[in-house]
Amino acid sequence: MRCARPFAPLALLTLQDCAGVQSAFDPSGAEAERINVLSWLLILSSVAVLVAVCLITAGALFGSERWRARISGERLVIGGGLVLPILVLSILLSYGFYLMGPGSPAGRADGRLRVEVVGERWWWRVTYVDESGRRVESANEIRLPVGRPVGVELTSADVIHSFWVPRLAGKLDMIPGRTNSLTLQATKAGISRGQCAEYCGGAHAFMSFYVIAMPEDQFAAWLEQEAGDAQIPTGADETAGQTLFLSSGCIACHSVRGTEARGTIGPDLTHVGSRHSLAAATLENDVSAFARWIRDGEHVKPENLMPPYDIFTEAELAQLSSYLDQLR
Amino acid sequence: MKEPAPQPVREPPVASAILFLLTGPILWAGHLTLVYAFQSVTCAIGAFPSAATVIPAFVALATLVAAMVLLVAIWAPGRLTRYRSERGENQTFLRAVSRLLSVLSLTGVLWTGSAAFALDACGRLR
Amino acid sequence: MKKLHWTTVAAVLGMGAAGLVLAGTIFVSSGIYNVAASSGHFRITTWLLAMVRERSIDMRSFPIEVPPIDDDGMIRLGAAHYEGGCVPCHGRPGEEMNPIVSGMLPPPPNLTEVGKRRPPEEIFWIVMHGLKYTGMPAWPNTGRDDEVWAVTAFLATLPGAVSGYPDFAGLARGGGDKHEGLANGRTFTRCGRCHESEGTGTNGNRIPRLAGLPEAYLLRSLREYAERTRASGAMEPVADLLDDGRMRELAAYYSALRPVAPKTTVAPDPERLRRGEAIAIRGIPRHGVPACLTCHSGRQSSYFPTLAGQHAAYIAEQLRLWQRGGRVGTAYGRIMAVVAGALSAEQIEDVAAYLASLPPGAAPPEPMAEVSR
Repeated sequence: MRCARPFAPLALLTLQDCAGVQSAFDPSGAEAERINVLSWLLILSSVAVLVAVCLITAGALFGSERWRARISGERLVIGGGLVLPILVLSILLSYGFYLMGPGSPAGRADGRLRVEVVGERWWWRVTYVDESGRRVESANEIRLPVGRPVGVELTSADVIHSFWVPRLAGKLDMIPGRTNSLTLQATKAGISRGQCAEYCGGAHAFMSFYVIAMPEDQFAAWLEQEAGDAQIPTGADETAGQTLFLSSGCIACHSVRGTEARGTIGPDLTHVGSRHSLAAATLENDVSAFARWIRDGEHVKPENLMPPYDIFTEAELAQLSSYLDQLR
Repeated sequence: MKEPAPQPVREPPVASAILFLLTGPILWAGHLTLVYAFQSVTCAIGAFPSAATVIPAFVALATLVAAMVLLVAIWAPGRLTRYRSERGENQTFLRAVSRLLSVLSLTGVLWTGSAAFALDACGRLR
Repeated sequence: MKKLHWTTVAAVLGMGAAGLVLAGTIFVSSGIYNVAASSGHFRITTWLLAMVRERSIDMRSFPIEVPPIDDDGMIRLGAAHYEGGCVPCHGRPGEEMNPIVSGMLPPPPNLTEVGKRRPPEEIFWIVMHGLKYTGMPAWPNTGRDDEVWAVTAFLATLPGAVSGYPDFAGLARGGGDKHEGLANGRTFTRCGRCHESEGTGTNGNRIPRLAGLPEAYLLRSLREYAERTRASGAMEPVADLLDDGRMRELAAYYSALRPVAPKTTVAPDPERLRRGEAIAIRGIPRHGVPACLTCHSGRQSSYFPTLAGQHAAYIAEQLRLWQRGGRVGTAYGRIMAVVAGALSAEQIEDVAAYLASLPPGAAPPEPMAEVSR
């Protein structure tokens, strides 16, 4: 549903339209579409009621005797205070029952694909589980097939986080010790941005992620590639970068499938070069961003839990970055 | 001989006026609390098989009881809570307001009760 | 007596003050006061200086809590540092003070009996902060309480153990070491007094074992001590006397030295070893602690030290130093600060005991594949 045109005065104030990669008014998911419709319904009806009440108040304050007599009569109280609310709210309630009831248009996840998202401080551990039980670990980005309802299991490894992709669905908390379930169904291919919606510490504002919805065949191909081992570096810089990566303590916390890096404390880096962003959507994904993160991580994302790593020379950083960038 | 001092008019306390007016909403709030608490606790302690029948049954019972009490409040506002003012016209107005609020509360109670039959008892709605 | 007007009082006071300022100016600028050390202080000056000094030390050392200081490793570390850093002024216990030093005013006291005269917290405070108006310097840095306590431990036990001094200070160690007397025969740079030499272990368990450590790490450490980015009152004066060539020689020497098996006096508790092994091989993923042996086994960068067989007391003290906010003057140190900060006191003891129990120089077991969380 496009932005309602009656809001021209408001639109003058906010010159950008309602579309946006993180806009709840530009839904691209099944649940977000229902929320969007309900929201506009409530907004418009509430505004109508507000306008009516303001008019009545104005009439009561400044109106002629005749108008004031009309307003203070019993008919307005019974009609506007009893009949109208009962009617309107009963209609809304029935609509709500229709949306939420057993035969509702909400799809249920069919078990072919499940995504487990664990909230960490301050990044997202994402694991895709397909119907054969194969687990593919990734981080900080979620990819979904268009049109298929996918079950998402949410939990947390430390403090309470909250999973929120406004274009796809509403919020759901990620609570340590408990698994909450959500169904995500993307209705359009494209990129949406999500955010952690529960304060979880200093870097909470930098804990975001992208959700990329792709057509089914592209998604199947992508999942196959993601499940595979890391690319073997070819160039001189990249090979030197791999040697640096494997010998500078990075493997204690990170994993790159296909090498001896099998750490689980930090994000999985097997295909980090192909992600849409770095550091939980804090940095654009390009070669220099890797160097910036490794050397200045504390300034990019203050208080994050990766130790400061400024032990490399400029040349070594460039080699490391080119290695990480080619892990696609 | 001096005239006897006029008797001071003793108004009943304000709290009883509020209670009289808000009989309906208070009953509605109590009904909602009971239904919400019962459903939440029953679903939280584990969805045992009989939840699908126990919850609607309890909600139906609570709704029935609340509806009957509210009907009494509508028909005779003075039966449940007492408020007597000296001035006559106040009494009419107060009774009318109490009745109207009770009517609204009755619809509220019926709305809440109907949800038990329209939706899954412990359904995961997302 | 007629009443005094306030202007009269003010005038008298003003003139008195002006007179004092004048007298003071004459005293200061005329040079009439004899600052010669040879002529000594007036008795009143000595009394005043001593009173102020003692009261100040007493007050400022009052809140200091004394840790257990009857530890053999601490005493040896303290004695070894004393030999290099304190003997030039205070003389060896049982020996005469040399003529140059005895001409200082105040002369450095003979410290053989200081352990009886002063409580340990006062000794600690003096060694840490030095003394104004004397030649007693402050400790070269502010973060190394552990080293100052080692010197305090030595001085506290000295009164009853003067005959043990040559052994504690390692006077006989490192003799015949080709690096003896490296920089003009100064005692500081006889590394063998504290650290290992061929066939000998370290002088006590607070001195880190260097044999078999990666050469790049040893060189980096010496450079950091010399640049004072790594704080150590014991090692900074040593590194300061070494030039780059000597540092490379020493790093190569110690890297190639065969480690001597440690003599175990007390068998460590098997439960503690088991817990320490879990931390060293699997880490504590829940708290963000990576497995120690992933980086410190010798298979990673040669700028990372190997920890197998290192003294448990040394490892534990360094981890606690990181927790106190020390060792963050270098980029490498800042990496470990995050890891050490996530360990509890019990975990520090466990992991130090385990790493000490590993045979030095041997490649430790491959860290397990991390258990999926």
